[in-house]
Amino acid sequence: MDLNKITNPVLYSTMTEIAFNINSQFYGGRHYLWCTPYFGSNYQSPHFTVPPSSSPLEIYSTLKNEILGSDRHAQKIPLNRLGIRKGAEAMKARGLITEEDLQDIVQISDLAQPQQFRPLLCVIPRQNAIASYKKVEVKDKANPLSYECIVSDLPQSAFDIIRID
Amino acid sequence: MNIIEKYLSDLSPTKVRSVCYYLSRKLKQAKILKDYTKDPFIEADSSLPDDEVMAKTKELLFAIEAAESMTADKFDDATYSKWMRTIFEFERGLGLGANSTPTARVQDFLNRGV
Repeated sequence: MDLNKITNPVLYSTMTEIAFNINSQFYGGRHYLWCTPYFGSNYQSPHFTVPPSSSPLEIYSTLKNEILGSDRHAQKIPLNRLGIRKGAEAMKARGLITEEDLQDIVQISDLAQPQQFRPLLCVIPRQNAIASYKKVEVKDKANPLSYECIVSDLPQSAFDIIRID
Repeated sequence: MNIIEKYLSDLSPTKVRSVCYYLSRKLKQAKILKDYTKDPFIEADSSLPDDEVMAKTKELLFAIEAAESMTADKFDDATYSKWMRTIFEFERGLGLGANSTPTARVQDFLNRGV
């Protein structure tokens, strides 16, 4: 959804500690985040229009459970490893990192222990996100009622990170 | 040669990684979001992946569904996990591998917290 159509004052996103560190070290402290104005309760409500897999709370809990080893069908961390490598390829294609950086990020994503995928809750004032928001111009086939948007190249100074124990 | 190798053997490593990424998203969404038609190809900025990546992702998904004789939204947990593992293992083979010796910069990174 177009961020300009979201009126809520705060956006939420869940990222992993390792992604945060990679963004900080290799991408100039710029972050790529899928955001929603809903933290994540009662996603079956007609007023809560993000699917469970996009709920920051759900993502946070899933990562936490996978780290604790309580999920027999754990896929979130492997997906995250793949996402990190895909993201690094995109940054290389944009000329923002070198081939050596790419290889190091691939190795980091491979070698990182599950504990390094600890979740971090990102709390982003909407006004701060607007400055970095880039509208998806392709025909968006997502549920038109879904309140999700992508913010890319968001500086660390634009949001807060929280751990929930 | 498994289905994934068969469909991706002629692509560059970068494109293979992209197909694996979008295919895993597609399977995940099929499993979780039966009534939510989120496009797995939509990412940031304004670009879609190139046509070959999108075509291969769709072809491979159909091949996997054909191998299981059902659509992905009907996969049980074991079937879903099996294919996700297969995709992850295949993609992981493109990298340096966990057995490679980390560079000093990688080791330093892995020792750090937020």
